[in-house]
Amino acid sequence: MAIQTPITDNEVISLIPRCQRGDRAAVEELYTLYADRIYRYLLARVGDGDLAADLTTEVFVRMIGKLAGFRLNSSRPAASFSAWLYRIAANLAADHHRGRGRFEQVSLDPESPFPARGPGPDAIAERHETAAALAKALQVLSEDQRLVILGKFVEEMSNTEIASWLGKTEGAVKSLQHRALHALGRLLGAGERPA
Amino acid sequence: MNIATILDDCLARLTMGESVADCLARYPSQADELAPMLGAANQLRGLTVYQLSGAQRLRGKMALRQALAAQARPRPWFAWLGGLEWKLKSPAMAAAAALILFVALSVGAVAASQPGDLAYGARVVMERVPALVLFDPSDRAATELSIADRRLADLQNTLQRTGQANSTALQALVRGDEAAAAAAGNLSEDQRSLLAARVETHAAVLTRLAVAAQAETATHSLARAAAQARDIADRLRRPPPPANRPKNGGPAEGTPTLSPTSGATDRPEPTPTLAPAATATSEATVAPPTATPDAGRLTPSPISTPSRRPAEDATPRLPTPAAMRRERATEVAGTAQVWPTRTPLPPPATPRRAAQTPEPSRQPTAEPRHPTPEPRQTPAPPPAVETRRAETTAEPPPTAHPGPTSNPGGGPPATSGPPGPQPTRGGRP
Repeated sequence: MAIQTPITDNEVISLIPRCQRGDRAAVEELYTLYADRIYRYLLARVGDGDLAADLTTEVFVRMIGKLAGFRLNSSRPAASFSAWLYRIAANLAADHHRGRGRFEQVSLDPESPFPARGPGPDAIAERHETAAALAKALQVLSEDQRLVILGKFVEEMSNTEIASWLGKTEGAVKSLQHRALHALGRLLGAGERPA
Repeated sequence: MNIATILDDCLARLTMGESVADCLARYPSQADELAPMLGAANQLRGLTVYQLSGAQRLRGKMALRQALAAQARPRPWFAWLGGLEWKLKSPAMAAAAALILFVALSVGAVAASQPGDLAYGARVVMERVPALVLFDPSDRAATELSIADRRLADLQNTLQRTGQANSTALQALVRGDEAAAAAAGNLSEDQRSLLAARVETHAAVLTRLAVAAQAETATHSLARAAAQARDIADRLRRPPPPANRPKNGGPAEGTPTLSPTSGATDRPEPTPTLAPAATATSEATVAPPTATPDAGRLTPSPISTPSRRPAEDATPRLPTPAAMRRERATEVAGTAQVWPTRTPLPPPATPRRAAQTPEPSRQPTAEPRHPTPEPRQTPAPPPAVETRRAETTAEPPPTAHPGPTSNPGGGPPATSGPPGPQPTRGGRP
């Protein structure tokens, strides 16, 4: 399980104004910080690694177009930018689902997506199936539930961080987390109580 | 402890390395409910291993550079049309845009219209709206006259351009003067005099334009309008009868001359004020509107009075109306195109006196309570009118005075009777 370094407010505060001025280095730095996070979110939404990678690129292209109108929330800069970026990703995923009209099965291309560590082909295929199943199950959740789950299990954020990110209370985050996991447990058929 | 809190505690323990079984053992009564949720959480944690490949990352950065380069290029001026096209895809937006465009174009066309244009009638109506919403009689009268000034300017421009008098502008001008007079019903004498001066200015300019006009029809209509304006000015100078003064400041009841619809354009005014003007300009053609039988009966017009203008004098000197117009136009050409000043054109002294003479002649039409067929015997106020009447009634010859036989009832024929033959036409050489 990859341990991600949290993105600090200072990083966001220094990068965003430079990006808004069209600084290419700053844009690429921002991409490096957020690309994998957005990719995992989109992979969980669409279940296809290549498609998720393309959509990730599209998210950042859209970000460049809209960044001039973005205003950082000075009280929680990193959380506000992250929420804004995820909203772009969520809209793209929704557009994709509307365009396709149905859920696409995950690609079995062995080279994509690349896991962080180098597993064998069987493990890759198993992960593809897992990603596809998870993506399918995540479609039934509300956007808030989905973001709480992804923040908790993909971004490894604490309840406090998720609450700040989504602008909700910790109690609300716990409640959303419970309802989301309840639905996912039912859909995935996982967690048969060990004998 | 509720299930959400228990679940959150279990997730924290799983993160710290505790197994699902251990967690379930801690909460045996909720184990059945917790088991599927913790299983799903374990599957979700598997997502953290996924990340972009090097090639995907490189492709992503290339796309970003292209996007940055495209953004740095200046957008073409017509780029906003793309957004507009997208917005207009919605039928409601397209309909709203079309409506706004139509209204804007219509208002622009109306505002820029000139006499003779299709939209000019709408412009006349629109420009009068401010006067209609004023309730103060003084303000309303002043506004009506200001609007009438604009119509006069339109009239002058049209006359310069085409040589024709635009009937819409002319009617609107007279209507504006009438409306001002109607609104001035309860104003003080000073205020009424000021308004009368402005209306007389209109009359003076109209007279000049009538003389300067090339077309015969324009001359006729302008002269008629000038006569109507003078009549309105005279009415404004006369104090309204106290009995007829309304309490609410509106126009006096029973005073048809103050009604804005009293026929400024429908009814040829049998006022002799035009006749003096015609006399003053040596232009017999200016008088046609006055030449109804009633007017002849009620008013000894100088035109038909040999003593005022002997035929043998006028005819040889002015062989054709065109020649008369040319002669007169030479005199007034410089002033005819000028915007009317506040100074009214003073008519000659003699015609002015004659202008006052129709007082008794209008009495039968304005006040049917005195159906005296012979105006000379009507004891109508004011006394000054009596005096003037005495001056003029001795002059008209019997031929110019149809007398009671042409109007046996002595009613108000001037307003109800059809216009009779116009002696001035016959009088044209």
